[in-house]
Amino acid sequence: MTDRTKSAPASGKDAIERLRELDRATRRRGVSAASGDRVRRALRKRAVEQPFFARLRWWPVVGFAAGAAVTAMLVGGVLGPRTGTERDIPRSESLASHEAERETEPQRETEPQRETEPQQASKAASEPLDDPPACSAWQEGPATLDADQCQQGRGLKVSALMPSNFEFGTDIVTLRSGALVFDVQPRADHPLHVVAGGVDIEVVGTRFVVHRQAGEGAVSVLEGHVRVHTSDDVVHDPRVGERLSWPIADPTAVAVPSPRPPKSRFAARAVAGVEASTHDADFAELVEEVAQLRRRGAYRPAITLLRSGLTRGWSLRSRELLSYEIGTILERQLSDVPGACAHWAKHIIGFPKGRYVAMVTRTMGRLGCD
Amino acid sequence: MSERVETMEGVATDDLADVIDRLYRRHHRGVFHVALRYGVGDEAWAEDIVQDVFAALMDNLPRLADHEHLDGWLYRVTTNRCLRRLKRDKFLHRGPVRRFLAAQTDREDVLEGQVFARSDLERTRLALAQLPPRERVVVCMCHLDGKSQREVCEALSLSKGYVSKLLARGIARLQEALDD
Repeated sequence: MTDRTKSAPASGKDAIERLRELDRATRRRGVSAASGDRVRRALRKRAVEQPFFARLRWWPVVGFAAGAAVTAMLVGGVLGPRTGTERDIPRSESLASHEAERETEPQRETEPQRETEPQQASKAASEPLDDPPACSAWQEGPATLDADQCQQGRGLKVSALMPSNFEFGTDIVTLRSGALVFDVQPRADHPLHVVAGGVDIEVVGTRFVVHRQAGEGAVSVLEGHVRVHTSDDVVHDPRVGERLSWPIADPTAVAVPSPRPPKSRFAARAVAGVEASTHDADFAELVEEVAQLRRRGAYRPAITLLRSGLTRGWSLRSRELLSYEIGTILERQLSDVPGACAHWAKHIIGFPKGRYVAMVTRTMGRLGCD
Repeated sequence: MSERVETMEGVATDDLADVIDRLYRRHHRGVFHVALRYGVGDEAWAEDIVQDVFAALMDNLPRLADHEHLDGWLYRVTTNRCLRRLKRDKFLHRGPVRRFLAAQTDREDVLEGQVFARSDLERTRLALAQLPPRERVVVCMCHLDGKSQREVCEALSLSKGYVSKLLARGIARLQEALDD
């Protein structure tokens, strides 16, 4: 042992350094969405049931007080006739009863407090929970939720698992960074769209978590199901408990050099695959740049960038998303109603069977567009 | 910080479930990290601790008047819960108890081990897992969280001399395990 402790300071640094490395690796592992949801539900259940346990917690105290009162009465009754005169008897009784009163007085004082807990319990169990603020409060532009919630009507509840930057629109939420839990009631006629780094998540009623951080986007389904549309028109359908992730290109990363022209059909197929992934990366890069511009309040350059994206050979779905972003910026950030109306009209012509047509039509009606 | 005060003051009027949910979302990552560290990568173990800690927070919420030290309170409670759980696990792993409880106490370490793909990290993890509960907690508090020995004494209700001994012994054990 002595040898060990003597050698520890010299070589202990190595052990500590390795311990720190292990800790850094552990830190990178976050709480899984399913696990987090399980704990949240358990806590919520316990919070509703807690006053019952709180009542149980008081039983020993009440029992002790009652026992003490009975003992005091008995002792008073036994000692009274020995020590006192006939005149003292009523006095000792009154003392005992006074003592009993004193014993019970604090109880009476605490009675209202104890009564409030069951009242709170029944209130929590029977009455609906206090509504969080409306998400529409953030329709004016990008906003940050930090461990807070917002709600839109009774159908949509958004909770932040970490400081999250997002933008809320009519039936569309754009997550810029962070992690949000969505609790969506069934809405088959107007699905909610969650956009996170070039991926569109279509929701008709479910609970799920969307992450966007450290160059990665991910969706974890807790209940129901969602459809995830990637920029290359591929639709994924993750099941409950599954986590679907996708890379989000880092705009500062070095651009991938374009591949050489294919020499054979096999090579052509291989290059097509590379191009598809390059398109994905380009699209994600553009979306990221637009997000940065929006954060800085540079809405006009953002629109110019988005318009340049419309002329590139991306899929119809990707271009529709870009067009929708342009309209949203014109309408909400720039409050340019004529410009927005003109753009929405072009959008409907350009994407007559697109996913956002219903939303755009409603928006045009709201803005009073011709 | 103002938001935190607002949260804690809201206990009287807001619904308890909502307040706890909000606090959970704000603090769960830190609690989970500490628990995952002491559970040497066992997520289910860490999840149990997180639930325990927030349940304790729920019970103590009305008494927590010091709004600005919720982080400290959570850290202290998490550490103590982990220590208590580690001691219980150690008891359950004793020969007679393990024979008595047979299958229930056999922990599957292999799965957790696979998480750390790098062999050196896995080795460190195993070395940490071999430390007795108190040594593990004291070493991590001092060398990973940067706590002074006095702070460790206060958090774990141990004497300074004992903490110092645990620390030296823990580092020596770790180094020995890593040198093998």
